[in-house]
Amino acid sequence: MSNVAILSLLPVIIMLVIAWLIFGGLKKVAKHISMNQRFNKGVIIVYTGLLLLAAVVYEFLPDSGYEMITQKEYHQFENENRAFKQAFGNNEVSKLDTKFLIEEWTQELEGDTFAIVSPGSDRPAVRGYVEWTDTKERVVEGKMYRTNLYMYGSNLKDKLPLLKMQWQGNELLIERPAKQEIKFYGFSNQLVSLSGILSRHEYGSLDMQGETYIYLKVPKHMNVVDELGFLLY
Amino acid sequence: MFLSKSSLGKVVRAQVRFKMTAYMGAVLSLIVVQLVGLIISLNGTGSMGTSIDNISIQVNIVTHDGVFMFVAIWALFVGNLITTKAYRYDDFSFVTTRLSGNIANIIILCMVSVFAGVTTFLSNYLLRVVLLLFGSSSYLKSPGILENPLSSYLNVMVIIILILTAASAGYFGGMLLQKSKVFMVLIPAFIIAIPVTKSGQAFLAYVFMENESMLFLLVKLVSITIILFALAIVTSNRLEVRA
Amino acid sequence: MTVIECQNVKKRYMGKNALESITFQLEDKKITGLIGRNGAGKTTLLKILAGFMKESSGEVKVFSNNPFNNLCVSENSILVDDQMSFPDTLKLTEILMMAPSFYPNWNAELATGLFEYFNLDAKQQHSKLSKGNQAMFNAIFGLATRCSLTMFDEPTNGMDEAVRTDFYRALLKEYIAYPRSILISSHHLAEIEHLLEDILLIHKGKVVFHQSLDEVKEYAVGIQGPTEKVEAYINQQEILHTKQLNRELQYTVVRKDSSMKYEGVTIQPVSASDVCMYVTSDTKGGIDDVFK
Repeated sequence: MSNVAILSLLPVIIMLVIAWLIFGGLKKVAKHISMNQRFNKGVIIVYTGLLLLAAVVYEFLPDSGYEMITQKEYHQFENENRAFKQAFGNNEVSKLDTKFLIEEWTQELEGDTFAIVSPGSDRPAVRGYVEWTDTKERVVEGKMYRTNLYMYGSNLKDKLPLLKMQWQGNELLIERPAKQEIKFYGFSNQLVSLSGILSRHEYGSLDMQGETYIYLKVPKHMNVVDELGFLLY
Repeated sequence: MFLSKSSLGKVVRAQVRFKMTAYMGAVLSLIVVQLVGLIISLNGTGSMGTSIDNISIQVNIVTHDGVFMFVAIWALFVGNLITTKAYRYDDFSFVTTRLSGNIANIIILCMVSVFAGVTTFLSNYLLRVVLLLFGSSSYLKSPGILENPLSSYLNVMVIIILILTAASAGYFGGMLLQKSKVFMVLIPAFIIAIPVTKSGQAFLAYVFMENESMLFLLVKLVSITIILFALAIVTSNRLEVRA
Repeated sequence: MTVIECQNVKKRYMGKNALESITFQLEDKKITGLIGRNGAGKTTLLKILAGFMKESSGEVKVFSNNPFNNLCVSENSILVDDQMSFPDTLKLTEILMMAPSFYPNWNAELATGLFEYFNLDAKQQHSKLSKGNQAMFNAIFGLATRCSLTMFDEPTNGMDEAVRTDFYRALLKEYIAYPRSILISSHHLAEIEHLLEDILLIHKGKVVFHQSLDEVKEYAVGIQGPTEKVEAYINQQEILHTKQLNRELQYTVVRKDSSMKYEGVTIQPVSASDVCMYVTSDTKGGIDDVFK
């Protein structure tokens, strides 16, 4: 028996002791309240009614929440992500699913040099690819894609602030969103204490973070100061 | 001399009706216990977090685990309570045998467990509504009852059976205590021994871990419950009354 | 028809022999007094008959069944004592309303009638009643069940004088209206003597005698007279009780022997209650022996 197991038992034992005290107290209190059968029945009916009402109200609450995906949908989305990643890796631009396209622009530059930079010290989680073109113009085309983002079974793609791509003079800024904490409630019909036991849980297994992809078309004659390592690909 | 003769079934039915009114207080205490559990659960039962590009995502999972813990202890307590002298002697003011009294008690515990299980399951929805109407965070749309009726049904069943198992353990333990005060020491020793000893751990693992599906867990729990009730009947069949 | 049959019943209880050897039969539809001193085993015997306790050895039959865990016995018999308990969640009237589903012969009219007569509070809980009212409620409950075997263990404990009298009257009227076997225990025979047909006297866990009240009244005689004369009469007989009234006069109780002729002494009848007391006392002189 490891010490961990003994320690994990401790709260249970403490809880038992507390519960025992509470029940002991309840029993004493109950002795002094002369309870009326009709009152009892009333309380029970009202309470049960309230619970049922809550279950019904929950179904009709304005749908500010996000739909949970099913296991089947999850697999489908996961495949989409995988296919996109593969296509991107193989530079098969035509195969990139347009449904993941977030923004698209064409920028005319003044000089022959531009830089891809990101403020802050951490490198943003982004995959980039630069395709060289033969054009003589100073035009850079850019596309940003975001693949499926599902957390805890809900689609958070529209809810979360994403990376931003913008031009500042000759700099292409790839900015991370401001530090932020987003809180959600999640509800479950299952006992979480059994979820480890029952292998499959409504949450957890349905995580899929997806990725941000940036695809740039740059004329060959241009110089790129590549801080983010896009050119490596 | 004319003797009236009732069948066991008829007496048990009368006893169940009697106990339904007499033990109403237990149901009331259940409601109090559930409310306490709900208040504690307001902060969520567990949380999960990840962060993506500066955004940290916190999901507060609100389940009925907190309420369930309290209700399970309550069931243990109620199972034990109705074996105490005050409750056993009440039976003997009316027509009873030890067997009929036991059967009636078991039926009552089953009924109470169903009520406790269903309300524990539903209490999660009370939490959902309260948190969503008065809380500030948004929420992940989570499965309601109707989205997957079979799974909801199984979840309720698991809760009911777990509560009933706790009640049967309390009932059997209570009967042992009525039999001899030695069990005051033996029962706690036994409870501690389960998670500490090898065979106890193996038993727990067998019951809770090695399940292909929830149905297996249900079958195991029901078997344990039946065994505990049967042992309680055997233990109490010689208990003397008003002694 | 025989209601109760006990054959050499023994009961060990709390490390003592509460019942040594009880053998008797109880016939149908009689009121029998179970008489004995404190600790004689009356309560233990009644609890065995009601199926609350199990005899250690011997044979107990109530309605030809062993009462322990027997549904028929439980349905057709009731033991009323001061340990009767009812759930606190029920009001007294609710308890009375529950009873008919258990006892098919339940007399609701009698129950409510007596309930009102004795001014019991309908909304009260059983455990909150005064001792006297509790005893009264239990007794009402017992009478109203109309069980073929109705047993009372010291039913009037805690009742005041007037209520006792009323209770005994109610018991008798109910018995006449609906005859059944009634076994009523008391350590105070005089109080219930007027109800009884039979007396079952037990002492130290054994049956001393089981006779009709009339027989008990004829059981012994008291001889009073000058000490020498009294002693001359009594030397062949079993002395139940003796008392030196003054220097010359002695009073002695012996088993009645109708063949005996007494001269020079006065012969007095001995009441049933005194018979029971003398038969069950360890010393012949009673408390006086202590102060000799």
